Formats: sequence, C-alpha cells, structure tokens
Amino acid sequence: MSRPRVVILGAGVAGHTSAAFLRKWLGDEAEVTVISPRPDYNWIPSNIWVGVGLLQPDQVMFPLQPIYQRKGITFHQAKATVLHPEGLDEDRQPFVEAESTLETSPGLLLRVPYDYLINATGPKLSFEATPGLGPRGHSLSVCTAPHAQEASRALDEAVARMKKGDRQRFLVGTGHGTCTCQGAAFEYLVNLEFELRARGVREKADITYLTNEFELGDFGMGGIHIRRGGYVTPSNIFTESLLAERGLRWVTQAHVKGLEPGCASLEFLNGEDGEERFDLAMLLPPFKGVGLKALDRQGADITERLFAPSGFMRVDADYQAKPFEAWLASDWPRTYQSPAFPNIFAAGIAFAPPHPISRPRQSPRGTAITPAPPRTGMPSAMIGRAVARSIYSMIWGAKEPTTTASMAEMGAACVASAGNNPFRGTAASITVFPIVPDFERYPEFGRDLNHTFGEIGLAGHWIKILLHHLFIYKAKMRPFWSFIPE
Amino acid sequence: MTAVYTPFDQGRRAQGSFATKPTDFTKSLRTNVPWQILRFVVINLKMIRVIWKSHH
Ligand SMILES: Cc1cc2nc3c(=O)[nH]c(=O)nc-3n(C[C@H](O)[C@H](O)[C@H](O)COP(=O)(O)OP(=O)(O)OC[C@H]3O[C@@H](n4cnc5c(N)ncnc54)[C@H](O)[C@@H]3O)c2cc1C
Repeated sequence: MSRPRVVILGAGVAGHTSAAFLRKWLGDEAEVTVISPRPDYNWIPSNIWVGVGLLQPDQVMFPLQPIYQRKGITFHQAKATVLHPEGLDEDRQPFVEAESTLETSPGLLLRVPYDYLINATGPKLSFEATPGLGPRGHSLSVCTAPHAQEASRALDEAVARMKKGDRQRFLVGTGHGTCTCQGAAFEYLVNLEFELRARGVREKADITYLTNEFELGDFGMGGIHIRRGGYVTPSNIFTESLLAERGLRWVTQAHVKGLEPGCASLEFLNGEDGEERFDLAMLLPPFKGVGLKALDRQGADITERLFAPSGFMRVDADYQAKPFEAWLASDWPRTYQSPAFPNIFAAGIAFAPPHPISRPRQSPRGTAITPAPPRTGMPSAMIGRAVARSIYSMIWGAKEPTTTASMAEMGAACVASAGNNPFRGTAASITVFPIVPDFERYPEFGRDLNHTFGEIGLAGHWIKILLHHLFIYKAKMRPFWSFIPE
Repeated sequence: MTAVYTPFDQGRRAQGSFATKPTDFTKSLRTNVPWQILRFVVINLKMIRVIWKSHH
C-alpha cells in the first residue's frame, strides 16, 4: 500500500504546528504536504513591533521552503481553492485544487490528493466589509508584516509633522462591529503611545481607542475576572486604568460604517451616529473564512455541508442557534473533525466557532456590534497539535480522533506588550482558564480564579521577548523544538 | 442601556477621572529590576501551570 498522504492547508501557527508534529511522529510512514500561498512563515504577534518601527519584517518572517526541505515535508506555494472530498466519479481519490502563487507559474492549477486533510487557512482579512477600510483605503493595518511596515512608515511621517509643531490625531482599534482580535489593536495602541513618548512628541498627539466591545477589557472573551487586593476585579477596571494612566481616550460600542480620508463614520449600539477624525488610523478588519469551496464527485456544490456562511469550517461543535443564557462550554468543538467527512479537520482560526463568547448585541437598526470570539496563538497551536495527533492515531488504525483540545477545557497564557524597551518597557502577562467560560463548573465567574491572573510590568516584556525568540526557534524546527510548549 | 457607558465624547478628563489609577509606588515597581526578576520567575511558573493544566 502506498504511504498515507496528509495535506495541510495553511502554514500559519496552526498549520505549521500540525505539519511539524506529523513529520516528527510519522517519520517516513506518511507523506506530509503543506499548501500555502506565501513563501514565508510570519510570527504575527511581533508584527506590532514592526508597526511601530522597532523590528523589520525579516525579523518576524522566514522562508518556509528550506525548513520543509530539511524535514522532508512537501511544500506547494499555492492557494487552495476547491476541496473534492469525494474525488471524481472516475477516480474516488479525494483531492484539493490549488492555484500556484509562484512568480514563475502564477495561477497554475495543482491537484493534490490526500487521505487526511487539515484546513488551517486562518482568516480572510475582510477589509471590504467596511467601505474605505484598510491599506487600500484610508486606514492602516498590522495584520501582516508588509501592512505593519506600511503602518510604521506612516507613523514616521506623522512624527515628522509633529516635530514641525503640528498636532496629530491617532485612531486605533476595530474597523467593524463584528471584529475580533481586540488584544492586537490594544497592543498597537499602547505601543504607539510608548513610541511617541520615546520619540519626544507625545504631547502633540491625541490618541483614541475605538472598539466594538461593550466595555473596555472584554477582548471578545466576555472579559475576565482577577483576584487582586482583596477583591475580584473585572478586566474593564484594569484596562480603563491602563488607558487613563497614559492619557488615552476611548470610544466603545462602535461599528465603523465607513471611512473617508481622515474621518470614520460610526454607528453606536444605542442607534446614534457619530464620527471620529484622524490623521493616522490603524483599524483591524473583521475576519471571515478564506472562501474555500467544496464539490461532490459529480461536481455539485457542497460548500454548505462543510462550511458555515462565515466561510469557517464546520467541525464537531453544537451549531444550534440558542440564546446567550443557554450557551454551554460543551457547545465548543473538541476534536475539530468535520461531521461531513471524517478525514477532514480544521485547526486554528479556520474552524467555525459555535457562537461568540461575549454577549451578542445589536443596535436598534439591527447592526451587530459585538466582538467575534478570538482564537489566539496558543489555542491555535494546541488545536493544530491535537488534530495532528488524532490523524497520527487514525493512520495507525484508530477509528475516531483520539485527542481533544476544546477551548472550553484549555487555558491560555498571553503577553500583551505595552512598550518595547529592555528597562522601561512593560507588558501585561495574562493567564485565563478556561478560555471559553464554563458557568457549570465555575458558576460565578465562568473561570477558575486560581489560574486566571494578570499583571503588568517589565517582567512581562522580558517574557514577550523570550517568546518571540522561542517561537521563531520552534517554528524553524531547530534541535529540541518540540520541547517548547505551544 | 445606562448612561454610564455612553460612548460619546465626554472629554478626556471626565472619562479618565473615574478610572482606577496606579500610585507612584505601584508604577515604580513595574520597572524595578530586582522586583521584576522575582516577578519574571513567578509569572513563568503561573504560565507553566496553566500550560500544564491545558495539556492534561
Ligand atoms: C497583529 C496581531 C497580533 C497578534 N498578537 C497575538 C499575541 O500576542 N498572542 C497570541 O496568542 N495571538 C496573537 N494574535 C493572533 C494569532 O496571530 C492567531 O491566533 C494565529 O495566527 C492563528 O493561527 P492560524 O494558523 O489559525 O492562522 P494564520 O496564522 O493566519 O495562518 C493561516 C495560514 O493559512 C494560509 N492561507 C490563507 N489562505 C489560504 C488558502 N486559500 N490556501 C492555503 N493556505 C492559505 C496563510 O497564508 C497562512 O499561512 C495576533 C494577531 C494579529 C493579527
């Protein structure tokens, strides 16, 4: 029998983790193939520092091909477009269709057969959801290293204007009512403020945080509670404090209707309209699935069987619509196996969550103004590893996935930079357990307060630097990489 | 919805004046190197505990 073929779509945190562990565990027993449109791996969390000019893109990116070649992983630089999970009438071998993104053969169609498939294609950055949003419109982004470099150049220009005596208005936050990843916007906000201070122009800057969160500190996780100083304190208190201490203004409950040069039109949760004027805006886009299609063996469209309307892949979650009060931890997926095809899995941002984590809200006009659930680096990597382990077991005869990684059963450790300097920098170190609150197990706050913690200080910054180097080392699959936890 | 969270511009002073602020002592501890070396160890242990609990 020929070797089983595992194909992984996407070489981000989730896909790259899956590929690395599959290669390690399976040795030569299987073919491991990665399909991804970019030639590089990007350690996305450090894009924040590229966006304020403290790192160059090549310090957060490295080419994948040499690493995959060294490890015996096949790499196709291509964009997956269509899944054929039943194969074709004449040949039932499942395969993926992909379009080459190589400069030498752009658009060349590839057919990559698989026995097991992992969809780890992450998010589509959906700038088009808000007219005028994004680097092709009137705002900046730090979601990719080139975007972040562009943000850094715009920041240099703003600083030059401030040095000439002009005041500058900075608007940082979320560019749509349904954005997620508030943590990244928040990090950029405080790093920007720190950098303006470092460059001696802080007093010339008016900085506003614009967010779709109901209140500060929600972060798409419904906020967290921390035991501190004899009280159990919600995260909005700490977040507000952080902004107030730095003289930053904030605007919550906002959906961005559209951007014109220098002006964002807003709709608020209470139905009123507003606007924010700016000289530089860094606003994150909402995320969608990357738009993979699926066809059956006769060529009929079965995309809806595999994917939710958002484009994210349906997995073993409970997708039945129910009110916030009825949400359960057990709604969240555990194995990430497609209910339609047991040899297909999704990992990282690519899986469709059953519902948000924060309470859903909409304006009287029906506009959803509520954060989508975040899927940060640690859960994405843990899911990537769990899925890889299940596939490994199934190759060795297991009938079902053997490894679980529910976001309602795992915690997360996260370090949010608040300024990059070896002695004056700080970062907020946060742990939560579990990521998705479980009100059956932890009735009052939904989380285990013994494992939910937050603290800001220089130590956090040192940890952030350490993690930057450790995770890039791990992603390069250097000796003992697998000992570094996700 | 109550007025407390109204997102309209109340002016920076009004907005910030209700927030908890760190004392000078708290702020100085945040970048005090010996204290932060200790916190580095403590935070790492706390994170390892959560990572361990998540893997088991
Ligand atoms: C600015 C920023 C800062 C962040 N900071 C932090 C942080 O400090 N800590 C933290 O834990 N998390 C952070 N995150 C979140 C973290 O980056 C994500 O959780 C993580 O990248 C998700 O991993 P993923 O593999 O699902 O997606 P990604 O890492 O986005 O990877 C998706 C991969 O799929 C590829 N792909 C896309 N389309 C296709 C296709 N059609 N076919 C094949 N491949 C495709 C992409 O090129 C990419 O390689 C941050 C995110 C941003 C944007």
